Amino acid sequence: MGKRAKGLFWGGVAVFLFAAGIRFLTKLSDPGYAYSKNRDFIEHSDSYDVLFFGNSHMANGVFPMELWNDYGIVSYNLAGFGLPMPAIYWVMKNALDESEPALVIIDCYNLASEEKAGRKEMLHAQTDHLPLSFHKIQMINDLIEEPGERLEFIWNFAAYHDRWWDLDQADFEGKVNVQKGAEIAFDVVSPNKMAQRPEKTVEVDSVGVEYLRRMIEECQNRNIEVMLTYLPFPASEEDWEEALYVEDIAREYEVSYINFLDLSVVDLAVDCSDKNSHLNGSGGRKVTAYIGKYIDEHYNIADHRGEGAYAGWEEDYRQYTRYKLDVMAQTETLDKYLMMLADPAFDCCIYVDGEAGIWRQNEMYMPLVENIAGERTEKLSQAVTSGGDYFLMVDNKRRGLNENVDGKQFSIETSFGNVHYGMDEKGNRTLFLQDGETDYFLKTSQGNNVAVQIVVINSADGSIAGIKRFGSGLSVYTQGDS
Amino acid sequence: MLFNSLHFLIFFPIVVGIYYLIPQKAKSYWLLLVSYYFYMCWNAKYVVLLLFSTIVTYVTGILLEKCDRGDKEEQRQRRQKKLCVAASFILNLSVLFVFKYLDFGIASLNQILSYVHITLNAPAVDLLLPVGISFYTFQALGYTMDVYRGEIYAERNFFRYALFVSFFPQLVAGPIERSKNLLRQLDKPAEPSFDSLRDGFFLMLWGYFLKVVLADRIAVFVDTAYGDIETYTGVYLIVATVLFAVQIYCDFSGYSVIAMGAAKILGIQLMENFDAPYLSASVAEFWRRWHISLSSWFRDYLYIPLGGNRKGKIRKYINLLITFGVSGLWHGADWSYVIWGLLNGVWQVIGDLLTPFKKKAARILDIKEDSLSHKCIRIVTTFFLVDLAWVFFRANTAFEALRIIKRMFTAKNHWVWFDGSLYECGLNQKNFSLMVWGILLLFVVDICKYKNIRIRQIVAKQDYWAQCLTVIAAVLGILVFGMWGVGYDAANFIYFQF
Repeated sequence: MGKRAKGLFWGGVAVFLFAAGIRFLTKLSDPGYAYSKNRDFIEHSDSYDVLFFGNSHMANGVFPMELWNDYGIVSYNLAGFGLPMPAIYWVMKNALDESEPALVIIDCYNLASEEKAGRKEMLHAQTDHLPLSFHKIQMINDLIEEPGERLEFIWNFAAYHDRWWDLDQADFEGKVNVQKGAEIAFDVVSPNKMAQRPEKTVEVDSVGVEYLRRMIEECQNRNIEVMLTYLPFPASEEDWEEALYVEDIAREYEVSYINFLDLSVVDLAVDCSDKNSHLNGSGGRKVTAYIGKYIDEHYNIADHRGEGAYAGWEEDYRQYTRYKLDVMAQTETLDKYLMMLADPAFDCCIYVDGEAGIWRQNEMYMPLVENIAGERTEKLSQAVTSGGDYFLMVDNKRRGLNENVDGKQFSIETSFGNVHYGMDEKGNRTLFLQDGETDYFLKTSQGNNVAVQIVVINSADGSIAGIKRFGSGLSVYTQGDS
Repeated sequence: MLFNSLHFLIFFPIVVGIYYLIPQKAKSYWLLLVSYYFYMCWNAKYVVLLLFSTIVTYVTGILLEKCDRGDKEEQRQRRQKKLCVAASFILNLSVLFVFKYLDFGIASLNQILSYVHITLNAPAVDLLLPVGISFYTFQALGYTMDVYRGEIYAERNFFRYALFVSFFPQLVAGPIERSKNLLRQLDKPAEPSFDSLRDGFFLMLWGYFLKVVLADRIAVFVDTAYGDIETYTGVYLIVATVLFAVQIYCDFSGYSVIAMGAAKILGIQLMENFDAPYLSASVAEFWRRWHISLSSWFRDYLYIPLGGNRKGKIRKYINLLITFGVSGLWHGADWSYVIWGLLNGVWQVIGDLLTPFKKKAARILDIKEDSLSHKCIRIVTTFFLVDLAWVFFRANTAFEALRIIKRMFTAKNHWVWFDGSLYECGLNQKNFSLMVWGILLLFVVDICKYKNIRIRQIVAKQDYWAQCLTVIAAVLGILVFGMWGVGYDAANFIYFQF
């Protein structure tokens, strides 16, 4: 081989190895949030009928897996935390390059903002997975004003190369978002007060409005139906102004608009994950149920349940349920646990030892239990007032509810088998589920220092999904925990 | 445009690509064009100062030769030449003074007058310091002196001379090249070869390692400790001070090596600026190995004209102190820099004075002066003295430097060495360990250099596949472990401010 040929050969080898090394390192160093959040969308981008866009309100507020379970709607939540409207516009534009949904739903929170990119790390979290394309370059140029800061969005390695000291097992194994892009918030917080609804609509003139218009026009140019939302939260007066002005925009473009601030879909007292803005899982499920019903009634979106091409969604839903149960198993505070139980996917039996006096410890417990029962409780207030023992059984499939405050034993047939609540010969309070195959000592005659015991049943198959015991201090009761 | 910026990484390959393609005659013009572009990327209007210095020293050179050619008597010739040189120095140094030292002069005057109860309150001018002004001014003045001494002919081609003053790899932070070396090369730039390309690339890689992996990582620790000396005291300050010595070495030598590599890729050989300085066994040796281009400039154009060591011991010491005092001032317009320079001069004076006693002591105690152990002790002592002076260089004021030194030795927190607290000073344990390994590598490379072993020549002798793998591993290593990208303030090289 001549010197020139050798030089070319080794030069080629060097370039190849270098490119392979860079590719490997780029992938390895990427924290993978954007990939895990959007992986299912990337892999099946042409199969979605409904896409959700917005920022954290939308990400925390609408759960595609619930829409699938309830209506067979195949949807994906592409909302990203902290994204202003211009960034949402570009996320949508890039998504529509890959997908042809029938309906796009955009949440309009933060419409009055003049920001374009928002916080850079948030933009990374929603755009890192996008392959380099003409639209991605356009997006970066439009959103990132400083040319020197654009490199990290073109080549993620520029943002993450120094994560070498922070790599762990998950970086090598990959992570998956089982919620189809949504993110359930698992906290429960008593929120700030919502401002009064203003009497007049004020025109909002902002970069956000400009980009919302561009989004609607983009969809309409592609013959995609658009629906606007303003999801519920403890809104300020300025938020109200945004929400009301969206009505004008929706009317102008003849698109649907749901202003949740005007509706009583959620109970902010138990449905907020932080004081100012975001819905927790309970609130999100209520909003999702409302939107699902609205889509079902107003749009011609197919129900894909039972179709062979969507068989994978059934397994996805099971994974999604397992994920929620895993989080519940790791939850250490009663308020969060009760919030998560307000989920039609789970039936439950809750036993509260009256002597523990939990109702006095946190005024949210009572509304949270009511939230699980769907405000159908009759004896809860009696238990709270008298300080006696309280037993609640929820059977979502049969829309059944059973409360007990007097300790009298009873037997009942439920969707998850026969339930017997009573007392044994030694004076222990007992619960027998599934025809006596599974039994629980709710309270021993000597007292067992357990304030609250909860048995969770998976509504889908009636299996016992978890048992949680909270001690008198309401931390997790470990002895005998399973 | 910083060497460690994306801008430069795009700019340089384009410059090299076109440079390789264009005919020989056009190469210097191309380099001149891109050098001015390079400088104007910082502040376009300050190119006027660069041009001014270029024109003044170019004209001076020609005038100096004209003085030689006439039939004038020798004494008159000498007088006229001195006048030309003086005019060139005054004009160039005036610009330097106005932009770099005027505020310092005003502040010092205000301060001095206040001691005798006179309130002047002259306001500061607050001019932006033109990048690299001290470097190109000294390079141009060095040329003037070389022509004056008849060591070179005056350059007639203005464009070539302008390139000599503005050659972009060394324009803003040196090395301060000698006309004898650089002008000759610019006259007929060597045809670039694979060997020079490879050698230059290796040099640049090493420079980038020093800068972005080591210097900028160490800077995090040093800045954290020096930024809050009330919290980070005692051991923290000792470690930070030792690390600062390494930081400034990596930072500055990193720049010089990148400059050398970039020039080499263009077929031009720049002078070595650092030669394992921390392996010096005396402060005098340190200054022969540290910032060689500046040290030798001061030696040739200040110390020797002052009389050097030719006029007796006392005069020699005074000349040393003047030279190092001015060198301190060259580094920065603040008394802390002057003190730093003077300290380095004082160490040398004391060292010289103690030499007979040291020799006598060694003879009595039967210490072999050429033994490794003795040399190690001298190296450590030299490092200690040089590093102590660096405190004045790094601190914001001379008083702060004194406070730092006091807190280094009075605060008692020796447990910091053992309980992991060192990892809470800006660098976590993994980053700290990486830094230590990097410093060890630097140490090994410097020992090799000291022993005249050139690692890049060893690599160049290996098979192509081994060279490929070495380069790829080096580039990827720098990309992964380097401090760049998000959150990284593309920190200027420390020496840019001078």
